[in-house]
Amino acid sequence: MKKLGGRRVVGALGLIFSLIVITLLGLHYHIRTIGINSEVSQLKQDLKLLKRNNRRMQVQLLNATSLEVVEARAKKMGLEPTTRIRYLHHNPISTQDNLQ
Amino acid sequence: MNHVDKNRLFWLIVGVLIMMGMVVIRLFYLQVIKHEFYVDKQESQVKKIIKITTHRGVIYDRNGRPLALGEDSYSIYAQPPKIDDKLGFAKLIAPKLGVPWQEVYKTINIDYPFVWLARKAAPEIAEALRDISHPGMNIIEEEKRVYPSQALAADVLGFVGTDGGLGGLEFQYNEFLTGSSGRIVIEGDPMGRRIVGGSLDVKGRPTGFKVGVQRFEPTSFDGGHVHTTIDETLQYVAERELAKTIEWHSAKGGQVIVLDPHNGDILAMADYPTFNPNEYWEADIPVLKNSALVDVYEPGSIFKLITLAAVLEEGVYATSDILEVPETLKLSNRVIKEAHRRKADDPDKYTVQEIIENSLNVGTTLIALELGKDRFYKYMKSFGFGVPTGVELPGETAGILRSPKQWSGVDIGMMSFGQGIGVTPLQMAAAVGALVNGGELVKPRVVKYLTDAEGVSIKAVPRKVVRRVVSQGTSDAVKSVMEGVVDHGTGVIVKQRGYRLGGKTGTAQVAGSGGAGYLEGEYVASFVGMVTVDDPQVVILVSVHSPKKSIWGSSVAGPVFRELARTIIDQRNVAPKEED
Repeated sequence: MKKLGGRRVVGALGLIFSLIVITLLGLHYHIRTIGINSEVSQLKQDLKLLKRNNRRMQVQLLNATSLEVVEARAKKMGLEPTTRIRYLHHNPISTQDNLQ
Repeated sequence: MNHVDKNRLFWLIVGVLIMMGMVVIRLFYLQVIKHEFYVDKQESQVKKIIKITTHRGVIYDRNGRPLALGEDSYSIYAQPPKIDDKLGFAKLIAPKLGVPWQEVYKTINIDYPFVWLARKAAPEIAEALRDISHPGMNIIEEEKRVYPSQALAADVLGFVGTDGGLGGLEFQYNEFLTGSSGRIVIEGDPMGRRIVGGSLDVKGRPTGFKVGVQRFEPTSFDGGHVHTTIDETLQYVAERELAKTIEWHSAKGGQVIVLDPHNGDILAMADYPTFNPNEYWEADIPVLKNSALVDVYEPGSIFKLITLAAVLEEGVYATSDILEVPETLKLSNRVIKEAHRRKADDPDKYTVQEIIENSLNVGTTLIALELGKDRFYKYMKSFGFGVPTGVELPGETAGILRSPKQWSGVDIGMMSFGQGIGVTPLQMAAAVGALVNGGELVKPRVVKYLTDAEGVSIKAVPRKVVRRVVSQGTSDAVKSVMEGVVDHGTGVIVKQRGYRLGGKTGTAQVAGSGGAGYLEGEYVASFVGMVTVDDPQVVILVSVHSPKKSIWGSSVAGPVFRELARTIIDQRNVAPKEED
């Protein structure tokens, strides 16, 4: 009976130990999951912010490079309107000569 | 077992059976009768609905430059019943909203459960308000439509109100640009995380996006993009030059259309006065319409090209045939006159080519009379007058083309030089496109293709030939006459040394409302032409309404054509012809 009782105690302790190990492992992975999830959430937020900034910058860039703005800037610098750039430098006659 | 034991056993069994029966009845009640109720309850606990915020698609020009796109913005609302100290709240948030506190107080001091404090506000305002965490105020993310080039192509693009697109392409493609107000339904935990093996249901996927459910991307819900045929540079030059000439001549308004006659691409469509779609509410309502396809006008002498084409195609006359042309012609009870009085040394005999080059009303009437009502009407129908062109823009009108039965005796003469017929500038440009492209009427298009949110092309708008109107030979002959107009006719003002340009001037009277004749001193000055005669890459139509300093198509509309022609020559690197 004593031997059998000893085995039972050992068995029970083993079971408890196993349960503790499994619980700790579960806890460990749970904590890691929470950590990773919060990291993912943070990254999602950062990505959202980046996208938002990207869209704002795109609009600002388009505003700054709209032909009206560029032409006004060019005129201020004493340059010809940008839409009158002559591309015919390699042709025998330039349209500059054609202006009546 | 004695009798007492048997009796006890019997009642025990009966008791157990009753209890089991009660359990079965209860189970039946829960699982069959109340099935739906508990399924709903379970779903409400487990199923999570994730709403997808969609972005409105972008409208691009033909070179991929965005003409209309979305920018993040925020709307702020308040729930007045949840605000105890309304005065304090108003004074707290007013500086952050950039408005007087009295205004905020007036808004919230009301017995409504919900009021807007700001719509489509800048991110800075939302950031500043986030620090004030008040239960009676909330911020929601929205999208604001932005037109980075301001008024550029406003009449083509249209504008977006709170309820979506309200004009132009924004209205025409509203559903496609908006995308789907989609949502994803998942089986998840209270945090919204999906349960492993749980179901996933995607609601509201727009048709045309055939991505498998397992591989779906939330961006699939975003609106698609519209790629137009508009060339930003040409559009800009068209608007700039049109505004310049209208202001110089103190005119009421005008339109410019630049069209590729081979595929119908509308490269530019300008309408003045115009508006800034970023602030469309500031504009008068009539300004919001696209006059290039809504307004009907009598085109005047530019219509002589149609008469000429019909006469040549039917073999009534050749361009070299000589006619005796009197200075005036009595037709029915009306006298047809020329725009300019004839000089003493002017000839009285003209070739058909010279009649058009010098824009003679009487000469054009004579050739139209020889053609006859029915054949003339057939060609006008064939060139697309009297029906909308079918361009992908809202509000297009059909113009006014009466059947020969409704014509008076003078109408054939009047129509031969573009009076007594109502056309839209787009119809006129498309018809001239058919004249110079070899004789095919091509449907104008302003959209080239559509893509989904990821840029995958999903629909192209193909080139569509409506019908062949005239032969290649007639087209060549008309082009030759148009070249003569610019070379030594009424359109010499647009002449460019080294380049073969062709065109036709027009100065039309403006009809009064209710058929009350023509208005005194009101004219539409027009010029329609091509760049270049050897290879007509574009047709340009310019119409200026009610100019004051000059009324002639050559001097008012001609310079706009000339500037656009120069831009196209430079932009496309068109080689000049050999000089002698």
